[in-house]
Amino acid sequence: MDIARAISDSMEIPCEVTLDIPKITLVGNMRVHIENYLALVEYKKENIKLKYKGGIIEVCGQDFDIRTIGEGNIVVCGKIDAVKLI
Amino acid sequence: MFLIKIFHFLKGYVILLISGHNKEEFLNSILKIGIKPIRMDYCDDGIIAALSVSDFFRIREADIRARVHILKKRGAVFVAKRLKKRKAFVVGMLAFVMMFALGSQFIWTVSYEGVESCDIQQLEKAVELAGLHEGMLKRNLKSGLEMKNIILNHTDNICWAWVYVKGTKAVVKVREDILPPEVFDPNVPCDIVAMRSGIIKRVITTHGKCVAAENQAVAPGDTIISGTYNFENEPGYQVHSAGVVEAYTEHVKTGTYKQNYCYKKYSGRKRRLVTLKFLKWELPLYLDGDIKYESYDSLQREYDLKLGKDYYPGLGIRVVTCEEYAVEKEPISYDVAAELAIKELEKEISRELLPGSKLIDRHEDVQKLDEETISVTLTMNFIEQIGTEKRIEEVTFIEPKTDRTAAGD
Repeated sequence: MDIARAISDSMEIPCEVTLDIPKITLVGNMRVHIENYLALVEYKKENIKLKYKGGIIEVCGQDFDIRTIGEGNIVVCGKIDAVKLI
Repeated sequence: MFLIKIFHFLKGYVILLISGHNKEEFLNSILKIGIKPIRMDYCDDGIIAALSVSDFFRIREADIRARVHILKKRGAVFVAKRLKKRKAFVVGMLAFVMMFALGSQFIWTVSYEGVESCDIQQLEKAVELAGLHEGMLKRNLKSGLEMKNIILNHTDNICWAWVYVKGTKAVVKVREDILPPEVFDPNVPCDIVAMRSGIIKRVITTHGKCVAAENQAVAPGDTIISGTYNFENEPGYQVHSAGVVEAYTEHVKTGTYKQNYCYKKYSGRKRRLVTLKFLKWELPLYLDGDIKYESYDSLQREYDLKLGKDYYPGLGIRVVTCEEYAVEKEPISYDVAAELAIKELEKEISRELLPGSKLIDRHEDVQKLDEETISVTLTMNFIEQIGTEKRIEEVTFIEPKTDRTAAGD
């Protein structure tokens, strides 16, 4: 892992491509875009859990709805309180 | 987003309720086989997801099972399926579409823009001569330049015109000539004459010969500055006179007024005459068009069915509302009646005044003729510039005496 990271740092290749880690983009507190996740673990109105290579991403908030979902990327809208990496 | 919604509607989609313990795993497995839900939402019973019709038939390929219920079927496919049974509705829809398509091939309204002082009837005739009229086929319209030339050649006082076709509406835009004020050619000999009667206050002559003295009374048409020079022994000549003529003028107006105020009192009785308009035809929706009220106000309103801003499919109604009234008189005091009368007389006098007039004195005389009639005379004195140019029509030179020539010889 460290070697891969060192190579990607030295060659200036984005980590999410070489290390297969998720990329999380937040738009204010109303939209979150997560790429590179593996599977949907839990979907509720107040929280969404997604599995990634190193653990679980938990998005907490209110009134969540999934705008777009595909293999490896998801866009969640609602009032986002927290994004946790467990 | 709106276009995507339209795309999904055309393609057709189903709204599903996914429930059970394995709903998340089920979603993951359908994502793996390439099924992409359009939208997802959470409810107490499970997950609500929208899938396109083609994707819906593939969900059996998923490895993991969950309970799936169809909540709604949306889209053009399902609408068409439902409408198959309602033949009359489909025929009506088709008829409407055909009428819409056919109606949009015609010009249903012609409106005019920019008409202020030119003769509208003359313009309407010119427009008709150019081949533009209501109910005509759009494809029979002449070219824009051709119509412009015809309109310009057959209408006075306009310098530009163009016909814009917007949907089923033709808008004729015109620009009127702005005529410059009449200016006399400075080489044309003229006199300065009085426009109205008055007493000369002063004359400032810049060109020509002043023939009126101060405090002299002049009548309309009297020459004040003459442009003709006559000499006893030399040939005369004429010039273009110029100058300012200030005179004291008097304006007197008299009127008889009643000591009461007239106003309309509506009885509340109304009658509406509705006429249905379809294309060029009109169908009155009333039997008797006679209004039996003694005095009434009528208000005409047109309601045209419009689709969008400019599309008029040719259907509309005209409503003429007739409202009965009676003229009521209310007595007013002597002072109020006099005040109203003086204001009216002032207005009348102000219409007669020349530009730049100065008020120097005024006098009001109010007399009571009987219990409810007064006679008011308003006299106003002004200083006005009464001089105006008048072309010298006839050349009246005095021939020089021949004695001088003889003496010289």
